[in-house]
Order: sequence, then C-alpha cells, then structure tokens
Amino acid sequence: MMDLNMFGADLPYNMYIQEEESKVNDGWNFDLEDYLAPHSQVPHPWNRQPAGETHLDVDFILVAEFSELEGPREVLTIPKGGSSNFNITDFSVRIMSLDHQTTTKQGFHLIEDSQVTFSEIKDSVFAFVHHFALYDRHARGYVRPFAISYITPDSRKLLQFYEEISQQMKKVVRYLKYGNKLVFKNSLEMHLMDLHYTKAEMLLRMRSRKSSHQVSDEDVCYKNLRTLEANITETQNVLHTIKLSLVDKKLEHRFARLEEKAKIETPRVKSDSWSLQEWEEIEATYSVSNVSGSYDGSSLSDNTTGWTLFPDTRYYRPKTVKISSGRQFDIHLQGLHELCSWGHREGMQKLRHLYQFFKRDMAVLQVESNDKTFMDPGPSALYFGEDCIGVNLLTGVDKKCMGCHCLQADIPGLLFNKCSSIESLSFKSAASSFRSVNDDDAESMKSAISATGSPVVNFGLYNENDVPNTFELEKDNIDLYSNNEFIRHLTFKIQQLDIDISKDEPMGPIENAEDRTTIDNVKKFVESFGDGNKERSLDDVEKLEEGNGAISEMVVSTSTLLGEDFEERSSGTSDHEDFTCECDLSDVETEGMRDRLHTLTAENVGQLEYEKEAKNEKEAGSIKIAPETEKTSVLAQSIKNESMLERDSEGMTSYDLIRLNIENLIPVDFDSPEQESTRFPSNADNDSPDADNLACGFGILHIMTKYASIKHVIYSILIGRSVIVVGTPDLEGEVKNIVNALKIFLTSYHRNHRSFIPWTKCLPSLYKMTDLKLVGVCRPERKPFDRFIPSAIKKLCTVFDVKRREIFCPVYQGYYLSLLDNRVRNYKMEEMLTTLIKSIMVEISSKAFIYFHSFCIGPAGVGRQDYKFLQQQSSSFQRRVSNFMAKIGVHDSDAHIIEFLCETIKQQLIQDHFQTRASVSHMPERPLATHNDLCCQMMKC
Amino acid sequence: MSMWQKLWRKGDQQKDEDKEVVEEIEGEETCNPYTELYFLQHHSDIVRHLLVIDDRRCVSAGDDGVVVVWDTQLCMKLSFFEAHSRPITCMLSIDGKNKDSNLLITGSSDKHIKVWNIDQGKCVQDITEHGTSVKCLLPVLENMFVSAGEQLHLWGEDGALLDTFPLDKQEADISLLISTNLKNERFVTACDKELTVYSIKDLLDLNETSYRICQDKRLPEHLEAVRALVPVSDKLFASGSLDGTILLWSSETFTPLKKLNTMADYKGKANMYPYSVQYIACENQKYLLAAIGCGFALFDTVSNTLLCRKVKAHYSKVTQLTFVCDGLLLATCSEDGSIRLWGQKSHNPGEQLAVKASMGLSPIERFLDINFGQLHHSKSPDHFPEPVLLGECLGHCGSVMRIVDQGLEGMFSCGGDHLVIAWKNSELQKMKRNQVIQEKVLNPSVIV
Repeated sequence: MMDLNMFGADLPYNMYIQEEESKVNDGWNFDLEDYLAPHSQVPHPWNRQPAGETHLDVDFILVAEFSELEGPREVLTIPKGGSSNFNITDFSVRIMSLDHQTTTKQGFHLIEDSQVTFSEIKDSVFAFVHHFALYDRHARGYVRPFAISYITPDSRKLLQFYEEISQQMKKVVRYLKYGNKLVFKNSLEMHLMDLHYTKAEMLLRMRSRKSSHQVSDEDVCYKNLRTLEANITETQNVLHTIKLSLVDKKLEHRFARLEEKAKIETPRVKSDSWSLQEWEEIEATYSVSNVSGSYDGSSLSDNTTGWTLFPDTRYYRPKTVKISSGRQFDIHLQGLHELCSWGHREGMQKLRHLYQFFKRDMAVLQVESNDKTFMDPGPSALYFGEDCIGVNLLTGVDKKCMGCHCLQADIPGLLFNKCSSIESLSFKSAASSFRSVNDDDAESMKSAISATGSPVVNFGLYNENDVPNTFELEKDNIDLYSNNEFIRHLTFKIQQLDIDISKDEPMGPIENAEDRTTIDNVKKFVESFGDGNKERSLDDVEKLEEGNGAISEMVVSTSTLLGEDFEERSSGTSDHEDFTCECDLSDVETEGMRDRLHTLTAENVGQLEYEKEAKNEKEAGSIKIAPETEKTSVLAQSIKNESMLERDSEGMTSYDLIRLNIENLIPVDFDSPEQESTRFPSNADNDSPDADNLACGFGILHIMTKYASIKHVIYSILIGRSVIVVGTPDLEGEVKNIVNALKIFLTSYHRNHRSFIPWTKCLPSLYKMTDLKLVGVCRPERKPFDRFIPSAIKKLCTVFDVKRREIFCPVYQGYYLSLLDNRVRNYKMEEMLTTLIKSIMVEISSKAFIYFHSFCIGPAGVGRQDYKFLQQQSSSFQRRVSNFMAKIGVHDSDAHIIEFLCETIKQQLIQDHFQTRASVSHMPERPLATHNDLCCQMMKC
Repeated sequence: MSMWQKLWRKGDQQKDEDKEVVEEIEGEETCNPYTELYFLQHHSDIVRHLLVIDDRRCVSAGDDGVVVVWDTQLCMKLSFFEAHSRPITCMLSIDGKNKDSNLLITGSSDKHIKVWNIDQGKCVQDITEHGTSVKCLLPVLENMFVSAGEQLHLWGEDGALLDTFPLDKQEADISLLISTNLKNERFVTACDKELTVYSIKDLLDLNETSYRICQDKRLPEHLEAVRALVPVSDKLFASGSLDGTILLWSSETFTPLKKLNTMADYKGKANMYPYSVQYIACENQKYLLAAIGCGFALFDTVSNTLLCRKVKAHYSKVTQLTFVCDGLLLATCSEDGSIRLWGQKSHNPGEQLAVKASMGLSPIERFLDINFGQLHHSKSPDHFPEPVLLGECLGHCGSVMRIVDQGLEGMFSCGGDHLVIAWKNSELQKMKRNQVIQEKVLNPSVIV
C-alpha cells in the first residue's frame, strides 16, 4: 500500500498505518498527544454520519502535507473550512497515503510530480490529487511531500475536465515549486557560506591551539572538520542539482517584478518577513543541541535576505554553524508561504481561480466547454460582452465548400461526398431508442412535443439503473430528436415553399427557375435523409454527432452551390444549428418560457437551462431529495416559480428581491456574505470605486427596470452605434453602473482594447467612436445638454442623458428586444436575466449565421454590377436583404441588428486576413455606420 | 442696385425677417447615400488638398508637409511621404515619362518643389531653384509645368529650369493659375485683383528648342482680390473675386464678356464680404457652380442666367462644391464643419432614379431634373426651385477644406481637424466585404 521508506523516521504515523491494516488495538505505551494517538477504530473518512445523508455538498480544494511531526495534515482549504460535513483530516490521511515517490535512487534528486484521481463511489466523493514535493533545507532528505486535491461530489467533473484540471494543477504547482526552488537555493547558498566560514574559523582556531592542546582534542577537531567537509560536499551537490533545474527565466522575472513592486509599495518589512522572524525565533528555542545553521536572527542583513527571493549574497554575513553528524527532525518547519515565497502568492491565486472556475455546476462547465469550441477560428467568432459567444460562423464549416461557387469544377464530387457521409450514418437505433422512451410513458409524449413542434426532451424518464450512463444517453437523444424535428421541419418548410413560390414576388425569371431546382434538390436530400431514418440499422451512436456536423456542412454547401438564389433555400435548409426560425415563422406570438427554451440552439446558453433541467431531473431521480434539486436547478426552478415570485415582489426593490431569492434558493452558492454583497450591491454600493471591476453585465436587471426606454439604447449598441451616457458629476456612480451593465451587449469587447469607458471627463472625439462603443461622460453642471453634445456626435451616436432621463436614439421596433423588455419584469434574479439576454443574443446570432452562409457568401451578397448609380445598387441590395430577412423571420429593426452582427464578423475576418498577410503593412480602417435611414427621437425614460 | 443684387436680396428679404435661418435636416435622410464613414488618420495639421490619382487611390496633403496616399477602396493608408518642412500649398498629378507611372508634384512654402513617384513611393526630384514660396503649379504644353508665387518659372519634365519670368511688381504673389486653351500654351495668372495672360513661346535655336514665358496682356482689375479662376470652355474662362463678382472672359480676345453676380454693398457688415466667391466649378463647358458666401449658385454662361441658388446653405462660408452620385446630388462643404447634400425634392426617389438612369443624362440635367432641350426653352430665371437639403454629412470637427467625388467609392473630404474622411455607402461596402470574404478569406487557393 505504501512505501515504508518514506515514513521511516515517523513512528507515530507508521503505527497508525499498521493499526489500520491490522485493525488490532494493542496498547501503545508512547506518551503521545491526543491527535497523534491512534484511534481505537479506523475512521472511515467519509462515512461517519448516519447513512443517507450527503457529506460533501460542494467542491473544495485541499492542500495537504505529510508533516514530519504530525503525519498527514491539512495545510489549507479553499474555501476556508472546506465542506461542513466532511472530515478533512481523515481525507488527508487517505490521499497522503497514496504515495507516488517510488524512486530507489540514492542521494539528493528532484522528485517528479504525480497526479491521480481518487474515487469513493459509494459516498460519491471524487478527488483529483496532485502530489508534489517541496524542498526544505531543514526537512528530512530536504524533501517535504505535499498534495493538492480537488475534491468534488461530481465524478463527471473529473472525467470530463481531467485534462483541464490536470493542466491547471500543473500550473499552480509550477509556481509553488519554482518559488520554492529559489528559496531553497538561497538558503543553501547561505548555508554553504556559513559552512565555509565555520571551516575557516575552525582551521584558524586549530592552528592557534595546535601547540598547546592535547591530541584527543585535536581528534575531535579533525572529526568535526570531516563532518563539515562532508556537509559542504553534500550542500554543494544539492545546490548543483537545484541550480541545474532553475531554467524558467520567465517565472523568475515575474517573481522579481512582484518583489520590486512590493518593495515600492511597502518599504517596511513585509508581514512575510515578520512571520519568518517568528519562525526563526521558534527555531532558536528548539536549537537545544546541534541544529545546523542556526541564525542569530538579529542582524538587519538577515532580515532582508530572509524575505527576499533574490538576495544579494555579497551582503550576507556568514555565521558559524554548530557541527553535527546527524540531524534532528523535530523542529518546526517553515510554512508553505515561506517555502515558496512569491510562488505561494501566485500559486494560491491561481488555485483560487481554479476553484472559482470548477466549483460551478457541471452543466455550466459543460456549456462553457462546448462554447469554447466556438472560439476557433478566432476571427469568425461573435462575442457579446466578455463571456458569451453568440456564434462562430466558421466553426466546423468546410471552407472548401463555402468557396465552391468560385470553383465550379469540384462541385458534384464535393456534394456527393457530403451526401454519402450522411448516408453512412444510421439513425434507426437512435430512433428506436427514442421510441422506446415514448412507449414507456405516454404522458411524456405530450410534454415532449410543444405547441410549436420544437423538440423537448423529458429527462425524468430514465430509471435509476441508468444513472451512470444517463448523461450520455440524454445527449444522444437530444441530437436525435433535433434531427427528427429538423427533417420534419425541413420537409414542411419545403412544402410550404412550393406553395409560396407562386405567391412570392419573383426576383427574376432565371432565378425563379433556379429556385425550383434548388428546392427540388433539397427535397430529394431531405427525402433520402428521412428514408435513412427508417431503414438503417445502427450500433454506433457516436456517429450521430459527426452526422450533425456533416449535415450542417452539407446544407451550407448545397445552398451556396446550387442556388443562384438565396432566399427560399435558406429557410428550407437552415442547418442543425438553427431550427429556430421555424418557430418564429410558425407562431411568433406563442410565448412562454418553454418556447424560449426550445428555440435556443444546441451550443448556446439555453443549453445551460436545458441541461440544468436535465441534470436536475436526473438527480432528483437518483437521489430523490427535493432540496438538492432546488439547489442545483435554480434556473429551472425559478422559471417555474416565476409567478410565485411575482407575488412576493410587491413593495420591494429589485435588489431586495435578489437578496431574498438568493437566501431562499441558493445559500450554498456563496462563500461569504461579503461576496454576496459585491455581486448584488445595495444602493449604497452604487458609488463604490470598484464599479470598474464588476462583472460584465452586472446590474443589468436594475438598469432595465429603472429606465423604461433602455431597449432603444441596447438596440443602438447592437447596430454598432456608439452610445454616450451623459451624467453630471454627482451621477458618476450611476453612469458607471449603466455602462457596466450595458457592456454585456458589446460585440467588440476585448480585454486589451477596451471598447468602452466607464467615466471620462471630456467627450471623446468623433473618430474615436469607431472603436469606442460605450462611453460614460461627465457633463459639467452648468453646461446645457444641447451645447455639450455637438451636432455631429448627436447624429452619429446615441446619447443618454441620465440627469434629465432622456435618450436621443433611433427607435427600436422589433421582436427580440421587445421580448427582453417584456420579460424583465418577470425576472427577479440577475443571473437569470443575463442568461436570457445571452440566449437571445445567441438566437439573434444564429440568424446572423444563416444570413452569412446563405446570403453574404452566396452570389446574392455580391450583387449585380450592372447598376450604374450608387443609389440603385444600394437600394437593390437593401431590397434583397429585406426579402431575405423576411424569409428567415426577421423583421424591422432586428434585420439591422443581424446585418450589423454579420458585418462585425466580416470585418474581423478581413482584418485577420490582412494581418496574416505579411506583405501588407497597413490595415484597412474600420468603418463607422451613420444610420441615415433611421430616425432618431428624443425619448423620456 | 444691380439685377444680381436684387436676385440675392429677394431671397435675403425673407431671411432677414427670421434672422437668416439656415435650413436644418431632421429625421431620416433616405436620400443620403453616405451611410458609412471611415476616418483616415495620419496628418498632424490641417489637410488642405485632396487629389484623385485613379479609381483606387487618392492623395492628401496638408500643413504638416506630409503627403499620404490612400487606397480609396479599402480605406487604408498605402504610403506617406514626409515631403516638406512647411505647409504644402499645391499639388499636381502628371503622367510619368513612360506613361506607366504616376508622378506627383508638390509645392510648398519651404521653397521646394518635389516630384514623387507614387507607385514606388519615393522622391524623384527635389527642385530648389524656385527660390520663393511656391503658391501654384500648372501643367503646360507637354510634360512641362509652371510654378508661381512671388516668381514665375517654367520647368521641363526632368525638373530643369527652362525659363523665369521677371515679375515687375515688388509685391506680386500669384495665387492662381489656369491654362486657357487646349494646347496649354497660354495661361492666366491671378495676383490679388489682377489677371495677367502669359504664353509660352518655343524659340527654335540652331539645334535645340528653348522655351520662353511671354506676358501677353494685363486684364482689367477686379474690385477685390480674385479668389477663383476657372476655365469654362475653349473660348471662355471665369474669375470670381471677394466682392462676389464673377467675370466671364473670352480666351481669344481676353476681354470681359459678361459680369455675373455684381453686388453694390459687397463688403457687408464689418468687412465680412458676405458674397465673396470662394470657389467656381464648371460643368458641361457652360454651367458655372459657384460657392458664394454661405450659399451657392448655378449659372448658365450662355443665356447669362441664374438657374438656381441657395443663399444660406451653411452656417459659415462654403469652401467647395461638387456634384456627387452622378449629379443626383450636389455636395457643398463649409467652414462650419459639415458637408451638405442638395437636390430636388421628389416624392418617389426610387422611381425617379430609374427614370433618370435610363436617360443618359448629364449631371446638371439630373440635378435640375430637366433635360437640356427643356432648359434652353425656359426663359424665366425663377423656373427652378431652390434646391432642397437632402442630407448632411457630419464627421469633421473643423472646417471642411475639400471634397472629391469617387463615384461608387463614395466621397472623400479633408479638413481642419487633420482628418480625411471617406464617405461611403454601407450597402456597397457590405457587398464589397462579401466579395472579399468570398474571394480572399474563404477561397483556399488564394490563401495558398
């Protein structure tokens, strides 16, 4: 079970282990401290409470060490205190006993890290453990074993994110270890100097005494000298090994920078050094006998060399060290922060981030990792705010297919390949699995198909036996159902189109003919697709996902290849990513949260709700504990409880409600009350200087409820019109809050080039508005609004005067933002609203996806060149766009939004193209749209 | 009071009552095609000159002595020359020797004339013999050019000084130059109030030809300094001055033929010269577009009539005007920082456009919404209604110095805020971006 060599000198622990193994309690005569005394019964780390109660309700991180004095012990936990029902000490024992150092090498050597996962299925405790060793001159073998464990009740987290957690752990440990190595090196160097100094002293003394002293005394001296010599050699060897491993100059610079900064900020000695001093004092009290390397602890140089990671050894005053042949290990050793210096600071920061990231619900992580795939290729991704990707136009899309209309020769082959790849998929088993689900429960059938015909998957159907595999199955079923529905809609749409064509205003005789061929082709494709559904047998469910990708590619390629036309086709061949338009076409007015859920696409935030619900139901099924459900499915629950909440809401401010809801629903989500208050500030917090650091979109619920016409401002942001929020100096906090809240809609949000300014004293010049999309400006009290804002700014930008509560902007008339506006009143929690916003953004983006693939990169997007006049070309393009938008169910102002989103991506693509071409030294300028066709109005809000 | 004065006054009388209200546009501008603007930044001082090189490029120059070549399609900087240490006063684009390269000649108040090869982006010649601040440049004969300021010089193609004309007056400072006939051998200079005609004579000495500038005639003076000089046709050129007078001269006899727009009380309040002519452009070799004071007017030089005018078009003096969108609109730029678009009000712009497009009309016909046949028969000067403000392009935050029309690529303007702004149509730009994406970004063969 373990490597006994490692614990050789540690008697208490050894006994502990033996006892655990033998389970025999024969009297121990050692006079041990309570905590060291072996227990009469082997404690099971997790199963101490009565059965049926969960012990681990939240994730936490545990840093444990194998102490020479105490054996395995907890060093720290993130969050503080760890989990309430969880015995950390026992767990430390368990993980530290999973030994990783199995080397048989002699002498000092660097110890490799190891990572293991650790699971206790019965108690549903799972841990990812990273073992590593830090070096300490005072420790036995210079080595102190540590382990960082990520402990979670959710095994899927570890399975799914093994790579990520492993990578992040490695990064954390890299900081710790490197900091530690530097500290170790310094301490060795100093020790070596001490030794040399002692040697010199001793030789001097010997020479002076040579004549007078006896031989026996001389013997002792020689013996001491030999020991010293051996010590020096050993230290030199260790130092050599350590120095060889110090190769990470980048990290070294980073620590050096940190130290510089700290020196500037606090010229006084840091608390770190104080504690070090303290340790030294303790050490001094322990130095009863022959502790090597005892310090005076008084001189200033020691103080400075003590805490700096980069000491100047020239100023080090060496001391004599007591010579000993062996060492004693019962002294207190340095704490982690002293061992690693700056590495500790950086590493712990990283570890806290890691915790903040992974502590979230599995579904959230899953959605985020799904979203992550949409970050590639970078330039074609459309971002909203700082953390939402609306859509990526080129993810998983075959560029060859897209460009095909330029390369006529290859078309048939390509098309064929795509088709055949689809045929290779087998749908039958997938379909049958779906059927079996329906057969089981007739009730679910009703809920499974909504009024609009969009897919709903009821996850409550799985029985408990399926639990371990449920998640996988669910996923497949979602895909499968989407497919079925997709095909159904496709056929339906095409039938509709056949009828519609006669009614539609024809673009031209030639195009019309081609429309028909296109539609026929698509029809054939869909038929074959549907046939496959019935005939093919299937055993490989995994292929389904590939199939989905292939479908989207296929559809896109047919649309670009076959059609001179672009409108009819697109609605018929909207790919798997977007079967949402059908919903809108069929019945826009049928609303309700469920519809909302359905219209969301697979990769979007909606899936969060989707999966949360799924997970929730699953857990409810498996664990059958109602409160658990409530915790994990805040979203789903709150959606259901909307009306209930609304009743409670009377006579309360939105913030109060938020607080109330948090207290009621998710008490576990917050570590401390401070954190809660930063996330949901009271009115007093409005003016807090930290407003800049708040999360993107924070306060949106408050802003949207407070200002009635805010949707018009949002519209301005979404059509790329710069928004200037003007406020008098006393409204600085409010202006900042508004800017911060509206940031969530910015498409050009970038960490480095900020497209927003929360608060500025003077109005930025107009040409900066190509980059700045959201600016909070201070208007001097005396200066009237009209004189403060020049007419050019007024024409090109939307102006929001907070003081007078007036907005001068184009009016929004459309579906999506009105929907958002109407829903705001129902939302009492900001998280839910942000999720809704993101899902709406994703839905809009999915329209942009269709618009891009079916219109922009098709022949329609380029337009006819036979018009002579600028206005003619312009208006013909406008007509084509609006026709197309109507076909995909986008009307009025929404069309402008989608056009802008698409233009944004196009500009990103072009910019990237120019950037990657080395021959071009200059970049095309980014345009600023003037929106002449939109009428601006002054509105009260 | 002259007839012209009456005409202007008639408009003024109404305006005087409501304190000269300048028309404002509100709400959507459906007729304004410039819906996307690009801020082209490089200059560090006032940009005074804008010159179109070809359908892809234009050049801007300003008081910072820098010449920047812009790609008008992609709206990006192609190259720039730090040409002069003092403001650039004039620019001239000519074809190179082999006709395969574009040459740009710049004159500056640092007394240098420099010749640039735009394609290669380098200075070909640096001429220092001019000796005084260069004010204007003019191409003459074949591949020669004249530079003027306090002195008048004739330069050969290779930058060799061919002749210098001794200006007799001490304080002569030629500010404008035009050539008056097709051969470019005769040119007119404007120096304060005075116009002088010069010609270039080639003297055949034994083997080689030498050229000489000869003064032909001095023309009767304007009342105030000449501000605009423009050739109208082979037989006619026009000059406009600070007092608001526009004189038409015969290019053959060099006698004043007609006097347009004379004002009695031309100095106005506090010597503001409210009717001063800042700029004259000629259309169809007979129509004159003049920027007069804060307004503009369109004259017919044949019938000697005022076709239409706008007295208060801007808040400040109009600096330049040009037809854009093939004459559907007239763009005026002003010191008030705006560019305004004028045209005829129409109830159905789309239909009107289709009709106009089918008719192969000239810009002036499109602008007036009438064909020449009808135009000749209409007698009454009040026949045409005042042009209506159809759009306003706001983007500059200083006075707008120049605007140039680039057809489908939109309009370019430069101004006192150190910026060059490209005004484009967003729909056309969208199509162009689609094209770029299709051809360059998505087509792998190009990427390879």
